[in-house]
Amino acid sequence: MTTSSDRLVEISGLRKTFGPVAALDGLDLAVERGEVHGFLGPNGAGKSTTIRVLLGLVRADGGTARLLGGDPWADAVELHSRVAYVPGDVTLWPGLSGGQCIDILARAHGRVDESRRADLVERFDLDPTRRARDYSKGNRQKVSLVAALATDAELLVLDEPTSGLDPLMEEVFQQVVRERREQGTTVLLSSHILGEVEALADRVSIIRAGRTVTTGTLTDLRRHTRSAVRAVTDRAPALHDMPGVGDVETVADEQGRTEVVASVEPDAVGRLVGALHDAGIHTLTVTPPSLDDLFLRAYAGHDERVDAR
Amino acid sequence: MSAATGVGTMTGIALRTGWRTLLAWVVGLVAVMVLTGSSISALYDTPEKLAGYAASLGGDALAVINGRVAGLDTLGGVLANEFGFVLSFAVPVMAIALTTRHTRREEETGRLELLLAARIGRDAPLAAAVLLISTAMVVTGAGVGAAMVPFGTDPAGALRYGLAVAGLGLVFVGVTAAAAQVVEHARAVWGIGLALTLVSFLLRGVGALREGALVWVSPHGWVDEVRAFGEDARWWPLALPVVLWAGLVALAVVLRGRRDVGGGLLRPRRAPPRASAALQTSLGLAWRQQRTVVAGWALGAAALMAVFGSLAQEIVDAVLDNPELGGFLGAGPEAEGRAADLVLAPMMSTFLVMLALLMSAYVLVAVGSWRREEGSGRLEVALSAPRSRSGWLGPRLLVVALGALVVGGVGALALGAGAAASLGDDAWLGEVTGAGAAQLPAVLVFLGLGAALFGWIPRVQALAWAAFAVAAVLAYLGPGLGLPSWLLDLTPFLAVGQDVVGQGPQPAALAVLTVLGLVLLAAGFVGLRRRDVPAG
Repeated sequence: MTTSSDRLVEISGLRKTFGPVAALDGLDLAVERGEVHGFLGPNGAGKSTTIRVLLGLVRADGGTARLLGGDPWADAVELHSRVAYVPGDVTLWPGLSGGQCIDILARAHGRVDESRRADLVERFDLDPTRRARDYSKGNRQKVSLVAALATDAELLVLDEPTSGLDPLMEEVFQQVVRERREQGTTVLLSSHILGEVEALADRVSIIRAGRTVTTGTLTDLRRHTRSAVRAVTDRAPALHDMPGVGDVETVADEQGRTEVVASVEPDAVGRLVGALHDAGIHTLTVTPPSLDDLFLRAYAGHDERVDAR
Repeated sequence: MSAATGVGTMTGIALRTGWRTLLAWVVGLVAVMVLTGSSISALYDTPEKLAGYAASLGGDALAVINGRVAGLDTLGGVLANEFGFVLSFAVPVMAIALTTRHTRREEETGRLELLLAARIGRDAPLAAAVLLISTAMVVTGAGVGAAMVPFGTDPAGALRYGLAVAGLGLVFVGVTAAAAQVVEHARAVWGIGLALTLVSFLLRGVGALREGALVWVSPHGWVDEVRAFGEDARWWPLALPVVLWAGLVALAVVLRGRRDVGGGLLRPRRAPPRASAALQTSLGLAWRQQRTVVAGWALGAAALMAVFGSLAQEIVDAVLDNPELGGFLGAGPEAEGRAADLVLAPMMSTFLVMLALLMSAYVLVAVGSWRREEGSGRLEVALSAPRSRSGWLGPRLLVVALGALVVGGVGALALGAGAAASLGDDAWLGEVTGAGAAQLPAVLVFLGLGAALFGWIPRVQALAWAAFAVAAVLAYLGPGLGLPSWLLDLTPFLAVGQDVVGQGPQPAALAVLTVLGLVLLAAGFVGLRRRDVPAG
């Protein structure tokens, strides 16, 4: 296999300005075949603009973008038969029923798996006879999701797909995306719901103000981030000045039983646990960094750089 | 907190968000009167010329369109007559547009829900909208009346006329306010308002030609019954629209009290769970989105044109009864034929111009819906499928063109059939319908303009409406105002021929307009292929 067939999305140095506003300012993104790629950033970071460039809706001002090995602007029509898209918020045809909207959207993309369509309508608990204008936001979103997920697309482009969905439906969404990945479908999942990305994504790109801040697998990203440690020990452990361990706080009661809070780098966990063991462990939790922590950290780091200028 | 708490706040919000549109309507209508006044007062500058005005109209025939305007031998009466068409449609449309905008549309978008969650009573938004727009109607009426005075009309007559204009507006503010409580969607409110405008206009026209009591059933007729510039002018008919307005507003308040915010009195129906094969094609979907709109416009055009057509014999009779014209034409069957050539053919041409205006207005409404496709995100979704931009625009353009043909075809057939039945002469059917085809290039220009603006600068699509408004005012008022012919040729509806039934079309103009329309269409395709979606 060549590189181009393994990389369904390849973007480097992408730029796009709207009047005086630079929406994309040298953004990089690579999505490999078969992965769920989390595309993270706060509101206005450029996620939707990137997706619109990928879909040939918006023409980039600079940099390169390749979709499925082709040019997303010039080859839009051919490429789109292999892609399905769920926008963050779309007002469906108000006079048509949800079921009619699904058929129109799905058929526009070509191949529709009828049994999968029926299964999805059932699982998302959608009433297909109600008119789109009478749907709530969550139900409108379900229509877009069913239509995209019912196709045989190689690449699913999901732009904040679960906005408005309740937790039960969000669970259904995650199951369906996992099933599709097992069948070999690639997913670009743009979101600012970190729990969702953490649950689904193999790799993550975090962007800010039109630029990629960091990218990699969650394990990669965690490798550079400290875990949180909480423990209760019989005696005060000897933690001070231990390499790779920081933010140590200890509170001891009259019997000498000590509550310990600390943060630890991944390669110092063994050392730390050893020291706690020596102090007689009562309880111990080691929490790996959540995506929230990674996200905030990426942003904090960026802001420091800005401040340093 | 009462249900009316916050009327002041709501009026402020409505004014803050809608003052531009409000001002544009008021200024636009007053400006048309200023334009009419300055042209007419220059054309009819002596009592003798004024006295000849009524005769030049071809007897009472024009009463079908303008109603029976009193005092046609005074400047005020002439101005009122020339302003008649603008009054008949622009004033009700202003009331419908503004009232819908500030009632049902606010509710439909959910903005009202946001406000009602604050310290604003349930009746306050409706009260504020009615208050604000009724005031705008009164200001418009006063402005129109005041605009007549400097040209030398009778001030008391101008005041009566201005108030009558305001009264007509008030009635449609009431109609729209009540309709907005019954149905859930702004589009349906528009439909009810326009349908009632048409009914009122037609009742007045038939009533005026027959000099019957029908004019009293029509709010349009009440304007004429004030006889603002007649010797027998009277004030009391001005009370009729105010009473009806108050009744309709009261009805609206009662209806509002019986429904939920966001809901209507009529419940929406269920829809089929699957899309038919036809609906899944670009063309099928585009047609599905347009068919109700086309049906509404076609129905309106058919009703209007059928009534006009069926009055043909009465128009001829009216001409023959006219002492000056009748004497000139002689008597007997030949006189009827001459009357038909002299008066009926130009009248039918005027009706065909009105039909072309209707077609063009439909075209611009339909093209405006493309912008909604884009704003709602549906265009993005459609283009994320394996479909080119031209593949999206083409079917939609085709549907709009087809829709315009349906509106025009139905209208022209109704006019021709009506005239043929009324005169007992089948030749009119073919003559009128065939002549109507000459207006197609004019309509094509507006289709092209709409498409080109959508392709290049969709933000300013309202420019197409502005061009339409100028062309419509020129087409309707231009010939009467004695404007230079190069100016009249600038409005496509007259460029194709000023009397297409009697004298036939101008082939050169047809060719120029067709080419212009096609070039604009092509520009629309090129523009859409190049630009960002949604437009940045």
